[in-house]
Amino acid sequence: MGLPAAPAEGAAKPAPLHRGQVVVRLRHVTKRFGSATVLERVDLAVQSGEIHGLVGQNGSGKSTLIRLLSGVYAADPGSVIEVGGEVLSNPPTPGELSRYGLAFVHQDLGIVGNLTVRENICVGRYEPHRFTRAVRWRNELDAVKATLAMLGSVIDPDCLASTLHPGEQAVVAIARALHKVTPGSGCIAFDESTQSLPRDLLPEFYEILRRLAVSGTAVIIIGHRLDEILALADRVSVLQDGRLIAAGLDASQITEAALAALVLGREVELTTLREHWTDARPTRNRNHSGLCAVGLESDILRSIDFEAARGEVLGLTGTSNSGHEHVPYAIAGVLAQAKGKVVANGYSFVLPMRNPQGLSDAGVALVPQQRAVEGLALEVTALENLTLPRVTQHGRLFLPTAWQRAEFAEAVRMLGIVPNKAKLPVAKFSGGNQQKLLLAKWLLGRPSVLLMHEPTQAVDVGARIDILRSIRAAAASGVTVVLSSIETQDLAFVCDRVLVLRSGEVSQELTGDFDASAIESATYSSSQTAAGVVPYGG
Amino acid sequence: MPPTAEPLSEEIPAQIADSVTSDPLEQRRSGVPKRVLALFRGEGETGFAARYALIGVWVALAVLLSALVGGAFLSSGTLTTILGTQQPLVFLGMALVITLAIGEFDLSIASMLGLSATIVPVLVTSHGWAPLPASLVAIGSAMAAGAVNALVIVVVGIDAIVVTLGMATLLLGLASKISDGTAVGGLSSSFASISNTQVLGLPITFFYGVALVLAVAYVMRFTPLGRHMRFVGANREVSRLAGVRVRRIRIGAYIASGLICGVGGVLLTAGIGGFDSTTSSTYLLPALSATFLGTAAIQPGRFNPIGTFIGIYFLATGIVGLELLGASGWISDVFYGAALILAVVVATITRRRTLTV
Repeated sequence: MGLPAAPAEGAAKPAPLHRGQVVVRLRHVTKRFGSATVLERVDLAVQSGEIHGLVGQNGSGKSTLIRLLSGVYAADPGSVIEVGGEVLSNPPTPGELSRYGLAFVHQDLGIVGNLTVRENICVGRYEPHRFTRAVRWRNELDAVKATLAMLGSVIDPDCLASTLHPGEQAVVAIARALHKVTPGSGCIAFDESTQSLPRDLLPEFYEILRRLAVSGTAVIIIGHRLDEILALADRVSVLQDGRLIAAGLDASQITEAALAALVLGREVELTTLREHWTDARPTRNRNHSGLCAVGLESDILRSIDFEAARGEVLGLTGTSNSGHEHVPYAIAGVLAQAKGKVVANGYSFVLPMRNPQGLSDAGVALVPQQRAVEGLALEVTALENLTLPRVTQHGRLFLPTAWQRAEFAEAVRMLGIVPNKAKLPVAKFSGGNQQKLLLAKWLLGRPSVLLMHEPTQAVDVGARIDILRSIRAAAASGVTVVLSSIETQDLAFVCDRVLVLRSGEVSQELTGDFDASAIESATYSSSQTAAGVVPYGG
Repeated sequence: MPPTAEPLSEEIPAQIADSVTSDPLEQRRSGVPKRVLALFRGEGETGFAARYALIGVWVALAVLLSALVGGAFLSSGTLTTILGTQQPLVFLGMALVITLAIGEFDLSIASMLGLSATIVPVLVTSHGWAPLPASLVAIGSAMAAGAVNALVIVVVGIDAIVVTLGMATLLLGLASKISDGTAVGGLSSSFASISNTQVLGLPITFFYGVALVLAVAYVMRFTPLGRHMRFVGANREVSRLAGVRVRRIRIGAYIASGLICGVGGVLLTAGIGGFDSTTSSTYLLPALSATFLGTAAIQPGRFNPIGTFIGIYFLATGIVGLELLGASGWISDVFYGAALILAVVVATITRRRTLTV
């Protein structure tokens, strides 16, 4: 196993050594893009030795705030960013950031694919030899190894970053930020880092955050998972439509529901919604098989068989590298090394397939995880992205527009996409609305089998509920849904049945009544007792 | 206890459903003549100014030059020169638009055009062929070169710039070999009529160019193929997962590029009555400049045929005007080079604007 045991006493929040000095102070920070105001006179103080949670819906300005602080954008005139009592230039220069020990992990990670892990981690922070000015690779390598080990990861520092999967790339991005910060000083900000981090590394990650805070470093965490933020943070600030509506709330004094109400700007009882959902599970018709996979194999999957009925939502989960994340792509025929047989909607297919078109003709639709890479073309309009799978259905000589407008209107009605502008490039929609567009792109084709991988990744609470509802509605109309996810709450929301994978095999099946913690324990407890588990990154 | 999942439509706030009204502008876009007009309209959220600014600058340039040069610039001879001599560039520009729009790059276009323009007089004069079979062989050779480009770039997976740069030099050498390194001529005047027939005071090649531009614009704007091309250019993985035959489109673009260059070469050589193969490389940079300049018009930020067409005549106007002002041959190199750099800067900034939130 590559995972060091998490220290038991690390779970509590120990009192920091010297807390209370303001490290980063924002005064009247405003940012406009054209006519849109993204941040409006934000005042925020982050203290040394605290973990400061920053929450808000998609598009509320969280990421913009971090980008202003890290010098990606310049703030509007009148904004002041102070670090350690001194006003930084606008935008802050790389020199200032490194002098004050500010480090950032951005949502898009910023990993350079054709550089090695070590080069990615050390970028901008070389340690040249005193006389030759050559970079001292040996020292650097040791330091990189130490940082990676601290994160509980066994990634080879000399492999190319492009060969890593997204979870490992998140580890590298975090290691790079940790590398820049001297514990006890400065400030480190994580924008949605736990979304992309493999679940089995989360305990180490949380532990590092706490240790950094205890040593006196200011830590800013940005996220959508309110339970996680509340468990980690000392204080929480809430952004709503670019305004800071709550600054520095004591995290121990606020409930998740109260925080959700602040984030959404309206009262939402998450817990009651959950209960409502569990009750609303339709009785599925097990007589009609919608999808059947026989002997599914890939480099990780070891001959998996399963069946999913029409109107059933089947969940697939597991630790990273357990293979659950490969299943949707394998069934859709787009995973090159996959072998096996798929029966969808009465049609039978043998993998691998040269051209996956046949499967999509049989009504199989895939909603991939990386919406910006595999799901949507960002520079193209929402309308064109939405209708892409169906543009050849109306003859090859001319592409009528009426049905495209109708599809967009239907997508807006189904999922509440805002803004309701068909001709806006996808890049200008917020993350949650992009995800809705991606889901609608495939739902509008009336698929008989819907394959999904992390459909609620990096979306806010409101969008997440919309998405989960439409998945459930699709199932109610007879669609077979296969959902691969590590979001145990999502799985508990929508799934009739959950298969837990381990080392490419199905290790457990959850049916009947199960909740998020049941899925969690099935995922992690089994992996500790099992022999021959492939350690992460090994 | 709530019942089973309720229909979603009940949960939609009324104002969202109400705001989905059909665009009156959209309804007017039916009917073929309207469709041709729509080709000149932009798409999406880009403003009127961004779409037609290049035309405005073009008019301003013409006014400035006529003020400087005087009557000579305004004569019909100048207009005919500007409009009537750009046929090879229009064909090369369309070959470039097709490949650039799908994220490919073809630097061998000028050499394919040159090869085609050389093969026709060589076969006709030295080997006694009839013009028609000679032209077909010329077009076929250019398409074959495009197919080799496609094979190496798409099937083997080699960088397009390197492959087509190599192909450009290779074809230049081949054309020089078959013509013994000299200008070849001797084409009949009856063959020349396919290019030189005067229509409305202009050589018919101008109208061939217009027809080609409209055809390419129609395909790219109004057909499923065009939509697929746009997505292949924007994101290949998204296209592949949506069932678009990405490889087929990429291969097709290189072969179409060869076809267009081949036809363009035949028309060029027919119009002149022969061709000097060493001059073909001088067509590449003007075509590149105009195509990148074209991304600043009609559909800002995108390679588009009508924008390219405007770009070609914009540059031609500038050069003819400067030559009338007394600048000699060097001016075209300086002008086209500067225009290429400027055009890429403008294109990059426009693109950046559409992508940032």
